[in-house]
Amino acid sequence: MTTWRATPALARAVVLAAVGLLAGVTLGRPVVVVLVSPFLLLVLMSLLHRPSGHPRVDHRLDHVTLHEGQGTTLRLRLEAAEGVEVVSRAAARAPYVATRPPGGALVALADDDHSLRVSPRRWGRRTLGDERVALTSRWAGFRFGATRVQGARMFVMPGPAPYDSRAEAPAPVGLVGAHRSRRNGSGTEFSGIRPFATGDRLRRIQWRTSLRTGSLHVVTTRAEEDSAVLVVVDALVDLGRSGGVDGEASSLDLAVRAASSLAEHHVRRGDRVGLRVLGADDVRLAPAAGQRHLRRLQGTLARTRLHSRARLPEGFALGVPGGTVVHVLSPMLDPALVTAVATASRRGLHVVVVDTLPPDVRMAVAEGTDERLAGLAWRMRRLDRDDLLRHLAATGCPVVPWRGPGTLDEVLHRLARRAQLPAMRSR
Amino acid sequence: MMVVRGGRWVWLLRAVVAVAPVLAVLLTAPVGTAPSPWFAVPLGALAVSWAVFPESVAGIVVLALSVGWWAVGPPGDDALHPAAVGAAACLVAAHVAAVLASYGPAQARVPRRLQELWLRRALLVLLPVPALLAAARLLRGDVDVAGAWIAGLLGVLLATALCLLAVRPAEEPS
Repeated sequence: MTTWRATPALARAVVLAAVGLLAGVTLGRPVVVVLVSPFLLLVLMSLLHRPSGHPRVDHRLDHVTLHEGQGTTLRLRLEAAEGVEVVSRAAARAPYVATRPPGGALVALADDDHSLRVSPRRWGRRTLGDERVALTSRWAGFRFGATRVQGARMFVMPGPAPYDSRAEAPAPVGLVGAHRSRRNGSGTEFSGIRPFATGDRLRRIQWRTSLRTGSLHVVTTRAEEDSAVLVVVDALVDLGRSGGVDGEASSLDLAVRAASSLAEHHVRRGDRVGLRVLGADDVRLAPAAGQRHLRRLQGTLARTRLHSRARLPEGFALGVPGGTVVHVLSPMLDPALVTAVATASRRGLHVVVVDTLPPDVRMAVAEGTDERLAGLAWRMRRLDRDDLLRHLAATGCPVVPWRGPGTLDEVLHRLARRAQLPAMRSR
Repeated sequence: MMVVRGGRWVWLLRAVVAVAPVLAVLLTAPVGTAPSPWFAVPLGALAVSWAVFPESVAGIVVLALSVGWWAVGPPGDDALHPAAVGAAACLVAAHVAAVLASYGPAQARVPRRLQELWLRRALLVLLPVPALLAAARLLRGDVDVAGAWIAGLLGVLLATALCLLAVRPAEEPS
């Protein structure tokens, strides 16, 4: 069990004082007594301030759930810590967690602030490094610990990547919402003027036209509807290097952050947003609206994990009802996913592919592999992928790289225009 | 909390640990007994190793050698020179610098308040040194040998008691 123990500094002072006194007196050398007298005082003061309690050490995070890039405080909780003068903390490094002071090492007086500031730099579940805490008594005579405190855990949601769009939803299908419908209804936007029919509201009567024509006419308006949006995240592969929220972004980083931004944007507009994560577990969240649902979406995204052997099954389909706008966030390297997207697009679904493959990604080469050959293989794979994406675009499914705000404006405008044209769809 | 930049101060503390004991030995030069390089250089090397590992046994060896040189170097009562105050200050400075350096990992910053606290403590423990030196110079040659032995014995007993007190582990909680 951890207890108060004499420090090497006290041992040094004790030995020097004892040996010095002995030698000074026996050899008749008073200068030795003079030289070691400060150490005798140091020993006396250390012993006088010997602590007797048995401190308990623990730490606690101010916030357990936060977004990447945000910061919180890791506070040390000391109980029965009478006589403690100095607190020393050293936290082991944890991936994607920044600490202040840098390196997670801190020496502070017990009555000062001895908290560590931590900031997760990447989404997901993060475990802080184990911490070692040492308490030192007054005059540095005794030390308690170092006590090992297990690293705290935090749940990190994707950061709020900037995204905004003013594009209309191509296929609004709900009952209420912010999007202009193709149908007439009880909205506010002018649609036309037609003769009065049974059931029309009197306040809709357009008196000027009615007086001119001699029969009652009413103003018709466009209905306002919400849109169902499905965000599909490809967690089958993670390509590129992840440097955290302010470093390089891997393909999965891009997908998760873009998915979070899209979900937040659409939920704020009142749309119903669903999520499907293609990976180790085929996670599905049914479309719904509201802030609570947004938190559920972001939480699900934060739990996304990569499984190297995860594959899409034969005949994989996106499985979305008509009228849903589908955002597929993927590096599009899985042929089954490309086929599923092309099929959905041909069936008349509004599918937008957001290409998350980092532009300068290079393949890691296993030891013993010819780098030139591997480079050539990767180039061929990319050419194959580019060809597939061209074909996909030819079926009417736009493919765009993620660029933040306005990424999807142009393609959504085009989809909205196309949705108003008569079309023949394959079943 | 006012904090001084870690890197610079850590280097400074370790430099004090490495240099101060050698300086304490070199202060015998004004007394007329400068240490030989065969003694000063190995002492410096040991002091450097103490600076690298502030909690190592090298600290005890370095301080004991420095005090030992003052005991055997200057002949007779010549050692009771005012330079001994400087030597004591150097030894205390090395000890305190090692204490500060050993509070935490090398990259940890030492708060300014803690530095100031130890500076005050160092000055406090150095207060009796000039008085003791003055007393020793006054009583030079007048000390009764038998009384000295009794004082020595008491000193040893006191030191032993202190050692025992220091290494005794704290009581376990009931």
